[in-house]
Amino acid sequence: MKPIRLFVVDDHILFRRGLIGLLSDMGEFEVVGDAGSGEEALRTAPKARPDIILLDVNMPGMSGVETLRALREAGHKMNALMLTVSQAEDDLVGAIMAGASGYLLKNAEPDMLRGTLLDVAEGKSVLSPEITAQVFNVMRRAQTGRSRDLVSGRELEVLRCLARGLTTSQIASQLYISENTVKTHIRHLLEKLEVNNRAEAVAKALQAGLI
Amino acid sequence: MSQTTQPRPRRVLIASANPLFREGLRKVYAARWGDMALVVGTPSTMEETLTSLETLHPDLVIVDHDDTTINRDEFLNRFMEGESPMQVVLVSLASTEPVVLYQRKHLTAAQAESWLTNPWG
Repeated sequence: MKPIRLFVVDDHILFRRGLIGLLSDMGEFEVVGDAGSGEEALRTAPKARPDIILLDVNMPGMSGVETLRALREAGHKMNALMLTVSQAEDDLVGAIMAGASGYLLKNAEPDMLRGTLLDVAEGKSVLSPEITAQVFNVMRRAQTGRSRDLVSGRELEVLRCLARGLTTSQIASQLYISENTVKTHIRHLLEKLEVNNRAEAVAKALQAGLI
Repeated sequence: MSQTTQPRPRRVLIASANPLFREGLRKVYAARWGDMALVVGTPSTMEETLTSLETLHPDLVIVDHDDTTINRDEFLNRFMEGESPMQVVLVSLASTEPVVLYQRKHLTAAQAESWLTNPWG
């Protein structure tokens, strides 16, 4: 089997040298180059034609995410695996948006790194188990933000009243609006939240963190 | 006929909560120094590290102190209290701060005087 060509980018020379030693001994990989900075990687990685570039995120000068973005802008399509100590949400989201195929923490066991690299080489996307929860949080917040953008301030007030179990006439009297206006708000809410009735609207609003 | 004696291999301890760092550096040492260096232990917690200092008597300790399981200050305090003439290299994978080398030397009175006269000689 043809070895998978790797390029390692990490400013920490002890870690980089050790990692190259580990990867070279695994059998499936050939380390075709390495760099101590993002700037150096931009110059040298494309010429080495790696299948996968392993990028540290936090480096002085260009970060790993900036380096990946620059490689993509220059048209280089090699797979990218971020290998980092950073669990910061910005780094994680930045890496995914820049086109990383994987995000692995440096506290991974060598076998996990090996498996991740094999998966990435096959075109799969891989995340460290420790950070998948953050991805879910980001998605939930994005969904909440979208719903919040859709629903108007008055509709939110109506939703809160519905959640308290108020009837149409009670909501009208509470918000000093007519019952017809309440019904219009409720109809809009059902459309925007893509639900069939008031109970579902309340459940979805609670789930999305709207109320 | 004179017999040549091999120098004692340098005993190295690599302390890190990070398996990639521990195993990687162990390979680097083996490849670079062969029989001249012996990685005597790769502890992954503070407790293991302190025990290893006493039982394995390393000449060189490389400490990756990012993880809270290996507390840099606690380790250094123990190092300062100790007696053995070991070197300590402190590294952090999380920051790009310079690697710090601590060295404890035992000097005779004459060596001490010489050192005071010319500490950088």
